[in-house]
Amino acid sequence: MNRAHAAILIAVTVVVAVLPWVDDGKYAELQAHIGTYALIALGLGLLMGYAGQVSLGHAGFFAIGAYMSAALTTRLGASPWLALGAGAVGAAAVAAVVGIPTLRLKGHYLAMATLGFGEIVHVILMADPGGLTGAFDGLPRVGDPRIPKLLPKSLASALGGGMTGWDRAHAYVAWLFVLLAAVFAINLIRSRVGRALRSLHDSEVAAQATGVNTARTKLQVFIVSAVFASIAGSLHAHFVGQVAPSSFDLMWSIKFVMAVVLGGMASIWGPVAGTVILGSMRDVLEDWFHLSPDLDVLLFGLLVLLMMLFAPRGLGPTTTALLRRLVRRVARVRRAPA
Amino acid sequence: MSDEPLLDVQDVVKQFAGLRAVDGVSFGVTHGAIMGLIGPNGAGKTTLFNVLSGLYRADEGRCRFRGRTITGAPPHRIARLGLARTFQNLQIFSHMTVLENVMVGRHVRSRGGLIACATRWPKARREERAIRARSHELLTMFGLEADADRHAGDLPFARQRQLEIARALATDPVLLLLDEPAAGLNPRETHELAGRIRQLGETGLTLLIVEHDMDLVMEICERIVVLNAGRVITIGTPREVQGNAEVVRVYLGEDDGVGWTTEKGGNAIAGGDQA
Repeated sequence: MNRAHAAILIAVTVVVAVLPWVDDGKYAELQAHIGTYALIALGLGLLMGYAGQVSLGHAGFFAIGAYMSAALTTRLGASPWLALGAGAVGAAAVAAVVGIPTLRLKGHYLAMATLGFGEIVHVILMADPGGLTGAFDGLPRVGDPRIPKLLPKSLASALGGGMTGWDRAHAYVAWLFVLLAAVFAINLIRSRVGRALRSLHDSEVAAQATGVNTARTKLQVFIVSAVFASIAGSLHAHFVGQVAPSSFDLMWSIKFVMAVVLGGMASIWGPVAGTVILGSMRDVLEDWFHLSPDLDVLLFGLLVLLMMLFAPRGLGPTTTALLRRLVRRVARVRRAPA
Repeated sequence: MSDEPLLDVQDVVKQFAGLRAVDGVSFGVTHGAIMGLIGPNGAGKTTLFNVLSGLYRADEGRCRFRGRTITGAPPHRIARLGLARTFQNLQIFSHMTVLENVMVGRHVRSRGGLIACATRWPKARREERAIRARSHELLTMFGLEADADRHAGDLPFARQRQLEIARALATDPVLLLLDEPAAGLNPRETHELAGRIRQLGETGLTLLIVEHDMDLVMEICERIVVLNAGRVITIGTPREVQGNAEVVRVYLGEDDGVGWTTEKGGNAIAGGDQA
């Protein structure tokens, strides 16, 4: 890990630690939600930026985690952490089934396949097979026990108690996952697997002839991104205490992709930043500008469009490049008088 | 297996939309040889390289390498078996550093999985150190050490060619395919290349070289395969090939006048017994 990554990591940690206490915890709940989405965007950023593939069905993996957690904890009384693990394993298996045939092919077959996959998941959620998914109302169904909390009540009490205490606990656990995922991704990119990924982005034939199993490497990253999304889904289920199909439709899959595009593919923190912007936009519009929060989609579309026109690499890489240029200029100015 | 050549190509056919780019080619490369593969443009040399390295699938025929059939095997598996190559139109990883390019070459000789790498497992870290050390060695060998942290895309052309060879060598190959290694190099750089190739040959590495620079081919290759229109015309020593009537006809018969002449201005093939 280089100094820039370490500095960002520390800065993010500080902000994330302090924010739940600002304005009596007003932002804690939002921070928790954005954390879960940032986890998805981080994985999707690896897939899009480093494996050069797009998934239009990540809401489906998000749903797998959420519904597995909701169903296993309420129906079977499983421990939340066990359910989270089961969801991750399930998502990995499904990602393998979708990814193995499509990632062998050149081109954007994965995008098409995941588009279909996301829709199938949504249809299954609505169809309520065997009463497992609860159709339109989701889980838990009337008469079911509540989805348990992920963390002990003592923690929420220690963090101020009541709703705010829970919100703070959720914000912390969500961002703990984001930070862990970021470290995981940074290490990965700078390892032999990461080099294999970046090499196939530059020249797929040379990567293959040099011994990189490109299909396998892409598949691995796709599975990682699916697991991140599934974990995010499990967190979501426990935070909200309720899962319903409307949180997992195509629009969400597209929002995740947009957050990555805005923040910048081939960047670890870019997708996280993109998610923060996308996730806080409704509240910013309403509280700061007294505008309808429903303008968020419009504004976000506009932002992505401007980004593509003027800084197509996205927020993260563009900022890095600007900073680098600034540092070089400062160094030159300092050297000049001597 | 003792009698079988290191690389055994048998009746290989590769066609594109009815055009038989490689049309029943057979030859063998013995262990430790430096072999040339020449022929006019469109003779099927690069196509054959792509078949050998697994990037193309042969329509007919069979290739055996180190006693194993490699026809139809995926490229990464062939690379692991010890067949490395360079590309005529450079295929450098231009957004990675010079060092990282060579480190990718170590991919087949390392095994750390995704989880081990992402969690910096001690075993993966040890392996990473070994990869780095070996890659630095190769950079030093090629005089690229000073450029280790530069973006590979920023290197001058001739150095990119060297980097491609260094990357290929990082895979610990038994057989190295060089696709026009002298293309775009000036005479001095070509001379250095010849020395480098001979040096590699002395280490026991087997080489198969596609090259248009006839001086270079005649100088460094022990045997030469001549292709024309996807077929083998003849196989022999440089002297035998230069004296072959059909080879002379193929080269002189080219009406587009593409430079099959030597640096000295004479025609290497027609000139016959050049020193």
